[in-house]
Amino acid sequence: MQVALKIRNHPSKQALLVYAENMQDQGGAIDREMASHLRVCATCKAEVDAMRASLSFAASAPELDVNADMTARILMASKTTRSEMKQKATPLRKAFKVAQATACAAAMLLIMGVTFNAFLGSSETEVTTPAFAESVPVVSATGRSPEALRQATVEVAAEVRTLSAAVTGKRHEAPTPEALEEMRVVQSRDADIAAAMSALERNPNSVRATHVVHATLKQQAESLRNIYVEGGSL
Amino acid sequence: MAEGMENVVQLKPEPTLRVVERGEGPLRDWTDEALMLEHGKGSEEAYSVLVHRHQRGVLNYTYRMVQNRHIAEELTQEVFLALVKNGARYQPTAKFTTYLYTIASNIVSKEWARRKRRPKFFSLSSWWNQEDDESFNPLDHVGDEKANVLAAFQRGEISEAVNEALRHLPEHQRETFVLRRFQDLSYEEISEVLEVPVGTIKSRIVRAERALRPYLEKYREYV
Ligand SMILES: [Zn+2]
Repeated sequence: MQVALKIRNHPSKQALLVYAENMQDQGGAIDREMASHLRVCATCKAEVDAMRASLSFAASAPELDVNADMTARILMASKTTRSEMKQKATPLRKAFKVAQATACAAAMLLIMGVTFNAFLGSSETEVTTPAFAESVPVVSATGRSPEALRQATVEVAAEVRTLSAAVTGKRHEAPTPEALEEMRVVQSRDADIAAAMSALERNPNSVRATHVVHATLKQQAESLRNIYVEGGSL
Repeated sequence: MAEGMENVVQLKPEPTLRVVERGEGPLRDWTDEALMLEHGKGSEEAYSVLVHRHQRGVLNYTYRMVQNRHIAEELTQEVFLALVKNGARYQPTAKFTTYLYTIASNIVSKEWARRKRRPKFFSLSSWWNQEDDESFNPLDHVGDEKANVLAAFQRGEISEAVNEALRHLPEHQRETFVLRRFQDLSYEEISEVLEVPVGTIKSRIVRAERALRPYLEKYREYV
């Protein structure tokens, strides 16, 4: 009784359980502080003993044995799944990668677009819609001011990015042969875009390089829209 | 109060990729993570080693959760097929067993959800019990090399007793207790599998043990 009165703080139930587990499981670290508490506290000692009894009873339940049939079934099913995935996924995964690459190129252009805007100054960035861009006075051979052309390029890049994401998002469905064919065109066009972009990077003020990027991206958007809307799905 | 611990906020570190050494020697000596990466590259042998290494654990986990051997076997197959489907995307951000039991836990949850959708007139207890299953044999539940049938049967009783007791636990307590006490996962691993803080896992184990105690005591006296 006197001993019990001395004990001010009993360990938490969680601490007792962890201790019981460590006693139960071989190799568990034994908490010395807890052990000395249990020597003087009958309440906690009884709790730990009860916990250990439940744990050891639960542990005494035999495990199910695996039978060879189950293993064979798993390995057989995995083979089937594997070959199904190969058949279906090869063109799909390729198309998916292409769409991703296009999205990536478009994203890079958007970053460049930010550079354009910084270069042009904030007042120029008010040109935000293609319709408005069309109304900008014509000062270049392409029919737009360089600023409007850059703005339009940034917009079509955003469009390509959105369409790429949309097409990518449909990759779980079955593609039509036309869609796959169009995707091949998209893939080869990516190389043109990359080339035009590096030309533009070397000379950011080049109207001609901007024009090439703009025109190629427009074609790309057109293809992606076809794939998304008409060419079945990827 | 009982679920108050669920609200404990624990800052989880961002997952980082584990360094996985490419295995050396025969595949059976490789780590799980190295095997999984090899399987992701298309190695059927690596996959087969993983199946042989972990099928028993997954089978027993699903069995403790659904308490029907046939369904447990089907779920085990589903778990390993998920490894095939996700093999190429596997990133070693955690121990392989954490990854494996996360998949298993999701598949078991789906099974539970399916059961809950069953119409009420379909007796849940008859579905739980294997009495309606003609191929069920208690001796399947114990190692078959044991000559003493009586002893084997008694051990079968313990398994049933434990299952019976587990049946009285809420789903999340049962799952936590099974992962900890039957699958030997660490508190940290269970925390990752179930996406709840370690403190919550501990309090679930405490509550599960408390709830199981009277049932287990009853059977201990009986056996
Ligand atoms: Zn105490």
